[in-house]
Amino acid sequence: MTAKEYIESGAIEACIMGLADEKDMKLQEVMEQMYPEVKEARMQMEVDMENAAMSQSVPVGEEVGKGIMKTLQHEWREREPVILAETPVVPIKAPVDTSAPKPIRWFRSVVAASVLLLMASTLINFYYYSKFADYRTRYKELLVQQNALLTRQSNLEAQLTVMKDPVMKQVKLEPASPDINSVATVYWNANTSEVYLMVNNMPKPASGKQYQLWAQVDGKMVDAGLLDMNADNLLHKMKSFKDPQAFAITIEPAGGSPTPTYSTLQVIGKVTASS
Amino acid sequence: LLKEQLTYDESELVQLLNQRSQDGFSYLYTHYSGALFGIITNLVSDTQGVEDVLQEVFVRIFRKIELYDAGKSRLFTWMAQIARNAAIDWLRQHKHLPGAKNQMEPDDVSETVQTQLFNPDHIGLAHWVSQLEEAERTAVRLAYFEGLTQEEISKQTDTPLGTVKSRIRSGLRKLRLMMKEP
Repeated sequence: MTAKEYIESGAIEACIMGLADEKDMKLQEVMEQMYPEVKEARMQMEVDMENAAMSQSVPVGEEVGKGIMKTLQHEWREREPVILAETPVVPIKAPVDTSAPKPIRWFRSVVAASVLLLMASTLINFYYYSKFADYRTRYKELLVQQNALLTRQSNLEAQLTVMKDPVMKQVKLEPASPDINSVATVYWNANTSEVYLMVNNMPKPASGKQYQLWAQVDGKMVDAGLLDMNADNLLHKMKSFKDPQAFAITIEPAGGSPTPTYSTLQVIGKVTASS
Repeated sequence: LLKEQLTYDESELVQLLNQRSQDGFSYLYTHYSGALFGIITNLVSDTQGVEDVLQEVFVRIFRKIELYDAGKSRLFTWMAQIARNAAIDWLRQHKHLPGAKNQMEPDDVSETVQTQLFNPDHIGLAHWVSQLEEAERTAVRLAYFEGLTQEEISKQTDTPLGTVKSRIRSGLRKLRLMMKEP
């Protein structure tokens, strides 16, 4: 599916209206990463929807508004961390003194006991609050991790979809000489001209060097883009070509070269009718 | 001295909401309650119900604002989804919606989506939906107004999931274009 077909399918609208399932939502994310025009379309549709909703506003009664703000006040109070909660009052028995009553002493012990209880209660509250804060942080971290995993999974799924497309031609790039062990595969879409590169096995290039893909077009080697080995992708999207005859990878200085350095040729493969 | 102008751009507003700022929520209420009320009105016809749902929407926004991701959608889109979900929850609680497993005629649905027109310019969403062709109309109604998942719709209408998805998508696309140029 091209970006244009995707934009016109209504899939973005389904995401915006909250009717898409999780898989569709992830596909949307991946499409936005791959095609900026998908993101632009989504943002424009959101603005349209917001404008439509604004023009369809229904005034809310004043009392309703007051009630809502009151409810929110309640929420605010609930959120304030409770450090000094009410301490259950424990009756303290003053030591029975059979001699003449000594009210001052009795009063002092009650005060001392209360202070102790209050301190204990503060400590306990503080302890539980720190625990709560700790769990909350860990929970948030887990949410972030889970989201990262989901994104990764759907990235891979989206890339598999690209690979499974029947119009996709697979071009295996084999080592250019016996002492090279690298293998890579180019996926070329004969309809959309899109080119994707999959690294099957390629060592990290020396620092200051970078792999560069070349496409043979009308007998000439043309730059097809640099390979970012740090990107966590199964498929790397490269430049598009309408009618490439072959693909090759060389090692070039970081940033790439205008023409290939043939002495550093790593892998090469021809596009054949049966590819 | 000029009083500081009280308008926030979206990222400022989101920051205030994340801090649970009173100003932020007052601003949110002033600017968005009418639009959210309009969305709820599309789904819930009971006056008290609409108000209860609006209150629930603000409580949910208050509690869940950390989950809002500005990279994925506009703030309003996120709030509109909360509003629809809260409305569906209300309809289910008050048994205005048949159970997901009941077979139902698409025509029954229009009664649950009758709107009370507080705003003379308010054209109920149901009006636009009724202009869709039947297959799309049914799919959009079950999904948007009854809150069924696409998979549930597929089972209930005995239609392949892919077909349900494309009916909902093309229906929503037509609705968006219709509402853009009335």
